[in-house]
Amino acid sequence: MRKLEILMAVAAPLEMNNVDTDQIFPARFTSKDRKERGYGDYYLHDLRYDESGNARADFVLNDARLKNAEIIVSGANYACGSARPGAVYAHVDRGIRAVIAKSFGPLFAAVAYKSGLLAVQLKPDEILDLSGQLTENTGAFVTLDLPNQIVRAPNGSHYAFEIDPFVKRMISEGLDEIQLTLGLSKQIDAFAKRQREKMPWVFETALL
Amino acid sequence: MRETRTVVQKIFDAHRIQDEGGRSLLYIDRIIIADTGLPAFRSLRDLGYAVRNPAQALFIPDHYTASSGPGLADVADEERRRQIRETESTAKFLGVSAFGIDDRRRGIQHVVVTEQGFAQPGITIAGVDSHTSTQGAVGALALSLGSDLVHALATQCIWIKQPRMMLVRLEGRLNEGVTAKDVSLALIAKVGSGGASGLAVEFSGSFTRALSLEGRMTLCNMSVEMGGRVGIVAPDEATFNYLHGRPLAPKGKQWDQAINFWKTLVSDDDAQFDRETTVNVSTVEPMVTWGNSPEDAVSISDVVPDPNAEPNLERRARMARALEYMGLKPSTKMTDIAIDQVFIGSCTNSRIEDLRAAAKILRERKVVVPTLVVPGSSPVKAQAEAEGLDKIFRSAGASWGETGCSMCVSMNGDTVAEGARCASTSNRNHVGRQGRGSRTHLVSPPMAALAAIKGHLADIRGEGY
Repeated sequence: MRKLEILMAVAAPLEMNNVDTDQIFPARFTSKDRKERGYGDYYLHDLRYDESGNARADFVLNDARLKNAEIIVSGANYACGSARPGAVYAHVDRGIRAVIAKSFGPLFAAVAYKSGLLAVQLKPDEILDLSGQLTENTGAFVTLDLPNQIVRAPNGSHYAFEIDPFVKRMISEGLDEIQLTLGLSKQIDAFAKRQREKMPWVFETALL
Repeated sequence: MRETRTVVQKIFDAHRIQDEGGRSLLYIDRIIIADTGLPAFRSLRDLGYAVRNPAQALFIPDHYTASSGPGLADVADEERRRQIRETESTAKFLGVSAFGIDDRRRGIQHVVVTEQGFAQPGITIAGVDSHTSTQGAVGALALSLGSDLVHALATQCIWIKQPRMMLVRLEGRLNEGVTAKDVSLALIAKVGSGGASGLAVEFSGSFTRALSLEGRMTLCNMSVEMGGRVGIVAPDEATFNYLHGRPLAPKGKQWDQAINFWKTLVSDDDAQFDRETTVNVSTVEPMVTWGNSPEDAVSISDVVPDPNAEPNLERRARMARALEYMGLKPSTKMTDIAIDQVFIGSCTNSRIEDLRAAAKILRERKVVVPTLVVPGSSPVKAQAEAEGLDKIFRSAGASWGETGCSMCVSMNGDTVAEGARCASTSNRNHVGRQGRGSRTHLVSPPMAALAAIKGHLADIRGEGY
């Protein structure tokens, strides 16, 4: 997985609350093979394109200066709704490395990092300030400093953020979590054995 | 370890292998894979990992299956057929059990796993799907994993921070025409769609205790719509009665052993919750949504709210956007909103109790808009047909479909047309949820049935329900 330590990148303001996963990755694209062309084109698809497939000129992400934005700045409850994995992959495949928001849906922050996507929570007034700067100065850069846990706004002001040390390590070292966990195979097997003794009815029932 | 614990903490502690960096490695007893699981299988293959314990996983197709017919040939197109076929064949190849497309036990995963007894009190059970929370109704710690399913399949564990706890006390008795769905919508309207953000939500109180398991499933199902990571009802006699004799429930001596264990799965009297809220359900009216978030719910006797009356600017903007999308004007009476079609189904409201409620309204009446009724599983369908409910639906002019997620998420081709308005018993009214440009009004099964015969949203009270 790609490491992420200090990211200096174009940030796009998506000034909405409750940007749900039905918006981020509409369900009808779920059956598409990600290998073929990635899910990047489907990110916020119906907000970006009208029914005939033309780009909506008034939608912020269609501004040429934000096309390569690697950071998204949004409101409360970002990525609420369906847990469909495509909602995470759509960011990754579009080249988005981090989402900064007031808050996140129940699952997003807990799983996004596993795909190398960082979810950063800032206070509402900080988001307001940051979004305001990005709206005024389209295409401006934001710096995400993971080691120091700081977001630097275009005007130089900066905001500290909290991050789970575990998530921080996974993202900054680009670790493969599965490999890490399988390093604990002995402990897992020992636990599974005890579990079978404790709840035999769960493990001795043939499913079919 | 705490001296007093909630039921979620008890189950969590019992599955904790070790802690690291504020997280726990949590053992997952059972895994569900739906026909949306192909990307997970592919990632697993691409990364070079195997399924660690295939015997603890179960495949059930539901998102792409057709409501028009039971088999693979009925599925809308080759792209969707491929998802079902390849996920099922991969599952079988990997040694994962399958209630495949031709299996008479199949249906919506969350309906099937409770119905078959795959979900049980005190276990950890996980799937991709956000509505995995439904299964907390039997007292399981049921986790939605999204893209993390790959990790669970490869290791039989997940890394997770122990969720903080929210207690929702539901007290009192329902008034005529009010259901568990209305209680859910009223609760979400009260606390907001992020009101339980990341929390494990336990439902308790006299109403919850008196509620059927089907109703508890509706509550736990909708807990994710207020941001909950988990929804749960501590198991009790009603749970044990529900599980007794289910195909995968423990039998004989193991049943007694299981019951003794299950009885310990209650929150201690003085257990600490991080958030608590109480709803007296006797104040809840039949509910309906007007916007694009489940929190946008009001009583059917209310009107479409006016964004200009909303002091919070952000919320005002969101409301205005929602009303534009929904094609609604402020102050319109909810009962004056004409609808174009009705959907009765989904993991929220497709169990036998829901179908009986809808049939009670539709009996000897006619629907005036296209109405699709989709049972939650093949066994639910068979039961409904044994009770003659299908005849009631059909003679009312409604379509009686084959089981699956169908029009709740419109991934099988059952869609609401652009700009059309649907009264739906499902769980989400997001922009485009039921198809591009679709307008969804979330309601209970009897309210959906009533809307179908009236052609507009209507108040169930006084309709002899």
